[in-house]
Amino acid sequence: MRLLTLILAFASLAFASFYSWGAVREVKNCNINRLTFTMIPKKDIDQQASEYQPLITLLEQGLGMPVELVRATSYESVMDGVLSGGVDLAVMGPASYVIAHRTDPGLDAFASLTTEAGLFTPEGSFYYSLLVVPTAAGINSIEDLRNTRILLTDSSSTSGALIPKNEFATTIGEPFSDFFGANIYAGSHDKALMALLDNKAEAAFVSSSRADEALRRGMIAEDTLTVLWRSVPLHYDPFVFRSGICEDVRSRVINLLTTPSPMLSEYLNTQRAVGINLVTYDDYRAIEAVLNN
Amino acid sequence: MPVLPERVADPAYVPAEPAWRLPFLVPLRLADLSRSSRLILIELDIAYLAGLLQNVELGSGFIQILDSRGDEWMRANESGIVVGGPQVPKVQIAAEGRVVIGEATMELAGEQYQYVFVTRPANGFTVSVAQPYYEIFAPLTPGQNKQLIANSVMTLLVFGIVFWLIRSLTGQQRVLEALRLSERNNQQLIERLETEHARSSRAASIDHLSGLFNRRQFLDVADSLVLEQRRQRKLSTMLFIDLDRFKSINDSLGHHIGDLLLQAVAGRIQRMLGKGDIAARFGGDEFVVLLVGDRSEADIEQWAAALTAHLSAPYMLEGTELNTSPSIGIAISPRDGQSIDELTKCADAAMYSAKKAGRGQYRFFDQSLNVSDVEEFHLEQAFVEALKNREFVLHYQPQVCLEAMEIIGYEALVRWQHPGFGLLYPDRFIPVAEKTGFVVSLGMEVVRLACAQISDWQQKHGISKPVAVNVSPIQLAQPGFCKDVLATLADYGLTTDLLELEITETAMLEGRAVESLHCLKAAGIRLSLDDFGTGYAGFAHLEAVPVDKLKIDRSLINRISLSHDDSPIVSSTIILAKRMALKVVAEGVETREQLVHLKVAGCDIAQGYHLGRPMPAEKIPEFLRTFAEEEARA
Repeated sequence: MRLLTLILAFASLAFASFYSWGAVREVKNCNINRLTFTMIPKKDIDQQASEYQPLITLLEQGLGMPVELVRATSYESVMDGVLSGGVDLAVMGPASYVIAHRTDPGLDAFASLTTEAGLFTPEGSFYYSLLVVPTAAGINSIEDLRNTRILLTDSSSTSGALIPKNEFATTIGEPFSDFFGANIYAGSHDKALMALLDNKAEAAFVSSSRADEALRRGMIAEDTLTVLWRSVPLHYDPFVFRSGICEDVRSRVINLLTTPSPMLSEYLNTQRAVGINLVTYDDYRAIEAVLNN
Repeated sequence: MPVLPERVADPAYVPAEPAWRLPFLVPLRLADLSRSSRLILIELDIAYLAGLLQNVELGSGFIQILDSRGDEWMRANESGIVVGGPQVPKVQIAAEGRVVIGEATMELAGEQYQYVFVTRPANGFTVSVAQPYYEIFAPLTPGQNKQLIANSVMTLLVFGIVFWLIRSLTGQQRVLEALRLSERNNQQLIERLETEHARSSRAASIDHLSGLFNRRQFLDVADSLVLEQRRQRKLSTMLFIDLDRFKSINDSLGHHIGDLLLQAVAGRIQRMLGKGDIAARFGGDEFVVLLVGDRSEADIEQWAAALTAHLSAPYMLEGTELNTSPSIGIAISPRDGQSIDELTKCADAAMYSAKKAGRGQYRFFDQSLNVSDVEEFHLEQAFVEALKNREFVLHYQPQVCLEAMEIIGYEALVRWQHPGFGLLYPDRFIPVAEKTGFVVSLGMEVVRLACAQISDWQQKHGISKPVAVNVSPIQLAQPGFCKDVLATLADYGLTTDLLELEITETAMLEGRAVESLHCLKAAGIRLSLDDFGTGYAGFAHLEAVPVDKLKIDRSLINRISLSHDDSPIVSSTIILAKRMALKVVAEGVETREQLVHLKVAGCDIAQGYHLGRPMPAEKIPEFLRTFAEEEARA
């Protein structure tokens, strides 16, 4: 109980600081002396933070100001950060960007990664939401999964929650909650995969790019997972500026991300990306359509 | 104080959808409490909470955050936030108090869960943790299994041991029972064996006839007894007992009576024994006694005398009265010998000595203890002096001619008028005299005395009756005996017909004695054979020896009155003697019946108490007068 009280106190403080910073920025506008950056949690937060370190260094050197990495615990908190203005730059999920964009159309998606080909994902800017089961379980049809435990990522995750609840529900023709038993939100794709491999659930909805990453890291073999369902192609996670970001900073950041440099290459390597291409909100309208269903 | 509102009150509440934020309301207290409070909403990102819970090991369990009504705000397990799935039963949530801690058990999807919760009524929420029992006990289960196996093994072991113990105990019991049975059988066998052994030992150690020890057993026992006596510095006495005349009793009355006599003797000996004394029969009529205890030499002699008297008392055997006497030889340890062997030899020797001394005698091996021998010794020493002092005297017993009933002569019987012992009869000193050789000079003294008396009678009373003198075979065997006798007769101026010599049968066996007899006979001295009928002599010898008379022994004469059956022997003897032209003299005639019988039988001469006792010479004239008067009256 003491732990819980402590957590509550900490959380209160954290949010209080977010709001207070936002208030200061509004007044000074472009006169910023530091850039705050965050990204949706996809794996272990420490590992993810170290992977983004080349990008942060690139930005700090290119902008000539410190770049502060905010460790977000959920998709929601990233959305909160961007919407509140507490975060200047964020890597968001496609769906969470679309959802946040509804609240604040000023949110500006400007770039996304182009990845190399994998077992589950073709090369390019798109990936899929996959319904996977362990091959060893011998499950061959979606119907076999009725009333079983299903692993999801985050309620705001595109491939890990939103697409399954919408597109997949449409595919099977019944509400998602009726078909499956317990819904387990693992928090990240990697955790969902780990839980699936640990038999904590019978199936999981994961991002095809995270599945490829797991394969590359040797967490799974090529035949470990069987894909029972695949979503429409989904555009990769966008780099998003909060609304009202100083134009100077915006252009310099875009420049840094689109100009080849050793630091950029290093960052791209960590993400198994071959490049970065520029995007707009239009690139995510397909998802908006799915969500609106 | 933050308060978690009820879940259903959340405007964003959608059933079956997770709440991603926990909305905590914090009332702002203003100075003026009457006005409505303002609230601050603090939303806690559940994913943040889930991230924290990531490191909590829940296994298959889960953690819940519930509102004040028990509705679920959040449920998370190790994998993440859980929505839907099995309905978790509601727990009774406490409505007031600061902190309430509870615990319950619930069943979820067929599994038993332990459910631990903390309720903070003031904050409006409850945190609970549930975990299936099998997982709680999972760390214990292997141990439990091991324990179960160990317990089972131990139980089996214990049962096994108990079974084995019972089995082995039962087995042992059986073996013990069998052993006990066999022990009992063995015991019985041993007892039987012991009984048999005792019987056979007894049979081996006991003389079956007398019931006394046999020789072997006696020697076995006696050895240790003597040793023990010596150790205690006490005397052990061994007595060798031999029955006089047993052979003749056995021969005349049969072995059966002989055996009965032996048994009676054994019984008398047995009754005389004191504590610790033992007796045995060595065989035949030979008995041995070992006296132990604390006895002095006097006691021993007293005991021996008593035994002699006791054994000499008449025996009544199957209606027959028997008289016998023992000859007892006595040896004393340590004086005569240390070992049983030595004692036996000494006692044996002493017994022979006793036997020689006559019937019913006992003798110590140690001569100093033999009182009679002491007397004998004294007599022996006194002989020379007695001869010199003329202590030997003659008594005369008249011999009567049965036909004429007149006295025709006398038998001279020697007496020793000992200054210390008084008048001694020949049985006291003749054996000593024979043993020492004094009998020769004594014999001559007797001849001299007889001659002197004849001469005296001739001169004083005009009596010229022959006098018979007993001559010992030793004397007869003397080379110059005949000459000496004749010389003595000549000395007194007597004719040879006045002296008669009585010889015993044994004298006839000696060549030199026979020679002397012929010499005497030739000289005209008459010879008569004494004690006829008791010795070895038969009539065959009579032809070889020139005797004139036969003197029938008193024992034969004695029987005349006891048994008429025996008279034919006397009669026959008389007849035979007559046929050989011998005069017959009957000795020991004590009754008138005997006299009549003898007279009828043809006996020539008789002597005995009935006719006249031996008397000193000076009483002869008076006797003659009396005898003549009695004859005249008769």
